[in-house]
Amino acid sequence: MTEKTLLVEIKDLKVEFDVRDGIVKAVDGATFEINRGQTLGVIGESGCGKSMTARAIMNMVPKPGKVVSGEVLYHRCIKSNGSEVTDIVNTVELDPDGDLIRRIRGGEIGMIFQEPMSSLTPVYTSGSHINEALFLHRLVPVRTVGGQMAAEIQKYRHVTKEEAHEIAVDMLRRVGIPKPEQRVKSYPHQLSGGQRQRVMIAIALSCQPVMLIADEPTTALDVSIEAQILDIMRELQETVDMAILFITHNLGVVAEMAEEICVMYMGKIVERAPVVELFYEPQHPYARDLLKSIPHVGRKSRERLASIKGMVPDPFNLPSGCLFHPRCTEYMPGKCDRIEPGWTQVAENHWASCLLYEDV
Amino acid sequence: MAEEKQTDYTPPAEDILLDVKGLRKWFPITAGLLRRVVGHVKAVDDISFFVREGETLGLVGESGCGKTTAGRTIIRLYEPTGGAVYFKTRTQTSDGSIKWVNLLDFDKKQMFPIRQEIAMIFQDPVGSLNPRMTVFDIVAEPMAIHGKGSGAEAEETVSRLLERVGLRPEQMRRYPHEFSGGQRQRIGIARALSLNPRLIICDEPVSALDVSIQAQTLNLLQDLQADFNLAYVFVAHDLSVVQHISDRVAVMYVGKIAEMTYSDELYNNPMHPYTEALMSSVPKPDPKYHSERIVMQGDVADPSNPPPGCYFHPRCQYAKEVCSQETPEWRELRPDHFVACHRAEELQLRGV
Repeated sequence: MTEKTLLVEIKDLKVEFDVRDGIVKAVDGATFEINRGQTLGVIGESGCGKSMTARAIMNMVPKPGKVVSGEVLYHRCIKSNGSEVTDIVNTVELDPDGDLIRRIRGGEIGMIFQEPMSSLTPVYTSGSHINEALFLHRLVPVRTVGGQMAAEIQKYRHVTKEEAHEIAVDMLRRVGIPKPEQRVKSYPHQLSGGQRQRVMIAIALSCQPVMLIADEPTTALDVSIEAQILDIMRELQETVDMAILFITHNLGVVAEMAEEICVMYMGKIVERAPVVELFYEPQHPYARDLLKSIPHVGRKSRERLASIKGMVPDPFNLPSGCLFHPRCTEYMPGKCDRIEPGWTQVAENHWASCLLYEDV
Repeated sequence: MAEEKQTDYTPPAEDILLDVKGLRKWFPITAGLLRRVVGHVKAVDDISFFVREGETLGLVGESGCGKTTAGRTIIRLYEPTGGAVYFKTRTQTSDGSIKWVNLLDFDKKQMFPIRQEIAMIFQDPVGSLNPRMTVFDIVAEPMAIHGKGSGAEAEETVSRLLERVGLRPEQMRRYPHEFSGGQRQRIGIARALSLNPRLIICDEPVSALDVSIQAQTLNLLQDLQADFNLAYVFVAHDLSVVQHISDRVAVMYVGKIAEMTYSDELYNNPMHPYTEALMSSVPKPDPKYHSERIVMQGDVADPSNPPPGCYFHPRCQYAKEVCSQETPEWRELRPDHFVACHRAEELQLRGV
């Protein structure tokens, strides 16, 4: 493994929605970081704030939600005068319609959404979708020296129409769409669900982002297509050295894709660990119960599943202390319902937010 | 009209409740001004299976394989194109004794009493409950329609049912929007139970639910099955869920059943290449598990224009010449292990 360089640091991020019935804390103090080339999985049940965290990174939290505190530090790599300079940008403080965030969004950080049909415009062909991204973000050096890019070249220009078409066809080929020369002229309704999701990936990757945010990219797909898409994502990651923030509720998918996993519950990150450790030695009771509650293919059937009792609390009426204590099997009366757990390191690279590991 | 048509049907075994033979549902494709039929989507094309009393049969497959259509055609929510559905009913005779009937011979009026015995649970817990009706109204509606209890009696039955599915009886005056997704699915289950059915068709009952709620719902379904001796036809796309809940599983591909056998047998010794590939594609929730995944090339065949021979042959890694020419026969190769594949005997396939 190569040396770790920070790419995105998220510090104490809080996203709140001010709705008629009160304030919903969608993300409540999330802190984690992503390194270059790393795949980080974020898992949790619906409404736990995983998608909002991703949107906050791109500074596109939908109204009435807003980022109330915390920062997202994006370590931007800029080539100038032959040397690389890292510029740290706090994306949540940028003007959401500003020039810089628009360059980052889609260009340097790509995103794939869950529903491929509603994320593609029905009146544009798959090729024009890719071209749109390319015209906005893809820059090529003004001149090349002997076929090789000279390091000192500073002038970049936008791609031309012909180049964009060429790149679009190439991208479609790389994501495994048959006959890309013809498919580049297809409209979304002429493509199958799996092909649409491939086009989405092609759009996101056409600008060579340093990070890809994949928000439930395979949830709407069948298992056979899901397997194809996951393979493509892994292959492409190997060739382009890109970090992936993989958001899903499917524990099987995350076990295959991620190197490290964050478990979220009610807007908070309750556990963070490398993938093998999380699956074999989960420390937080929520993570433990969650892993036990899924049926496994191939395991003896007709056993009862372990289920987490109760349900996710009402966001307007949150329990005191640890948010998980009313459902927790390790509930310690007098402690869990009073004290809010901190962030404890339980092993190397393994953190949990639970009073079991705190001396209080 | 079928005038008291005594079906000359003898079930292959005593404990069989439902026997589906050669069921077909083709949806017409129309074109032009005159809406002329130019072709058919063969959503369900000649499938046969049976369900025993108190057992769960899983119907699994990718989207568009016809599993939902099969479930709905059995209880005549869709008008079938052909085939027969034999059901062991108790409502056709005055003394409640057993009688075998072919549901596809029945008209609407004759189907009416049968609907007490076959209930359905739907996928979408939001869309399947009327937002203007209270929980009491929703759960009591089947009883009102069939004239089973009213007033205080109905109220007592509803509160008993709600309690049984894990809801508080005092919530029965509330409306569906006041409940979470998992609770709404419980309301749907209570409604399905209200007429003491013997067969419940569950159409993706847990796919809209979160994992922790999914586990609770699956456990509830299993408990109810044990208590009331219910048979389930469990339609789902999630192989791990299907394996967990089913006694036997039928794998569907483009309107046909590819393979059907006991759940453990299917997962350990699959005999159809599609089953093998499908199971190997499921991401395993175990980061240490690494196996050669069989990635199926291309997309699911178009049911309006399926390939010749075996529908799976363009994606099958074991396909031979015969596969693209002849339709494989539906054969019982081992006891209770049915498969439709030309090469089932010679292939050594990998389970999970």
